[in-house]
Amino acid sequence: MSDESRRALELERRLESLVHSDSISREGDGIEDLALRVRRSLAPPAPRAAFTDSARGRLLHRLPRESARPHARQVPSFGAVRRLAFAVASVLLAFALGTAGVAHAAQEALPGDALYSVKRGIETALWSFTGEPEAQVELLSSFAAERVQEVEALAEAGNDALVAQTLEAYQQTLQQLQTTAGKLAPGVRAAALAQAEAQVQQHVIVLERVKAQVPEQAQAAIERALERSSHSREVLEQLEQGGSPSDLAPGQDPNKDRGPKRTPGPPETKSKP
Amino acid sequence: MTSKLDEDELIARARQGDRDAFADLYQRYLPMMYAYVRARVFDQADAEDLTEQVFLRAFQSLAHYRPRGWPYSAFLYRIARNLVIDHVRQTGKTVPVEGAEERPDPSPSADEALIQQEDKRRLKQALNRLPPDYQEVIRLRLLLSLPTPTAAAWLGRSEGAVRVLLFRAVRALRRELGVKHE
Repeated sequence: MSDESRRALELERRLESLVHSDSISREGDGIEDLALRVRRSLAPPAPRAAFTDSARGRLLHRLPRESARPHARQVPSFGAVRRLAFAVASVLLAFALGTAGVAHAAQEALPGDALYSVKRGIETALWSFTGEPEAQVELLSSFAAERVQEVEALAEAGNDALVAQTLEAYQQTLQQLQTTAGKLAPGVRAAALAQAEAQVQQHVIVLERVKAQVPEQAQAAIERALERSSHSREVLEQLEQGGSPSDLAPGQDPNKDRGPKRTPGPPETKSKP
Repeated sequence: MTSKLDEDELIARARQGDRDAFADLYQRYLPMMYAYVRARVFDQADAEDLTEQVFLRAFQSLAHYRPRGWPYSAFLYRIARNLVIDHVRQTGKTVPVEGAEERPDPSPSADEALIQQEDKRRLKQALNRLPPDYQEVIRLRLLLSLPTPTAAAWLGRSEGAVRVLLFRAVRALRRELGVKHE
């Protein structure tokens, strides 16, 4: 464990112990002291009693009368559509391949397995059935999640070469996801982007876990994928706020020009949306 | 603490159109979401309205929501964060450094109150100068007192990464405050 990680863990332990105590520890280098000071001084006030007491009734009054599903007509969930499409694609491929079990077995295939090309073929078939950008975004998110799961399985098996190759495929899928997300209709944009963004967040958690497992020479590829994931999250966030993916072109620091400047500088030449 | 099973059941019922189930979710997560919004938005009325909007949007998104093994609060947080960013951009209102609503102190002397106010002002100024991800981890871990696993789920990082990020953030804050240590 690095010194920084050890000190970070120590900070957490002291914060946990200080939650139940008013005394500020005089040990350590004052970081815990400052953290507690921030917590005590800047914690937001609790909501008004009047606000919380009437919250439930007010929300029920504001919720739309129709069901949670946004469309008036009952459409099958995308999960059901995807399963149906997968089943259709599997049947078609089973006829082509001569055995019904092959396509089913292909679902669990990893890069390097004999059936992996069948699995990717089925994904291509699913993609061809999917026309609406909203459904495409969800499908691409599921493909990206599948690549991440493959990476995790390959890392556990010690197959570093295929880990790198699969990470490349993952990054390409993320790029496609960003492009497709830009085509979302305004009415469905917010929800679809929030969902996609949250899923990419989950990818980051898995990839960081995998990074801790692989040898050092394999970590660079995972770092690149993590960077790409972070960039994708920023792009999806930009889109959700009405911006454009080009606002965050690769290599551009997403944190640049955010927040107040410390010293007066030249006037900004970049116009804000 | 809410059991995951309870939460999944409420979400499943809400997705079937059970508005009371969603209202239960709302009551469960209201304090947490309000605290986050209030930490970033000055006006109490704006914070209340934005908090309700978080849940209205969450309700509209129920058809698209997929649990995938993470807490529902992480999804709510993402909506809240984006709403706050939109609000700040549209209105220019954030938590001001000076003149912010003070938390009532039962019995300070006049001098102590002034010292507390000045300390708060300095802390806010220094916090506002930090990079966004440092500010955010301080908000979640210190201001909202979220446990590390929850903060990690919200931020999409591992628990270890969140611990290190918090440590770096507080260290950077100390530098901004000009506190000298050997």
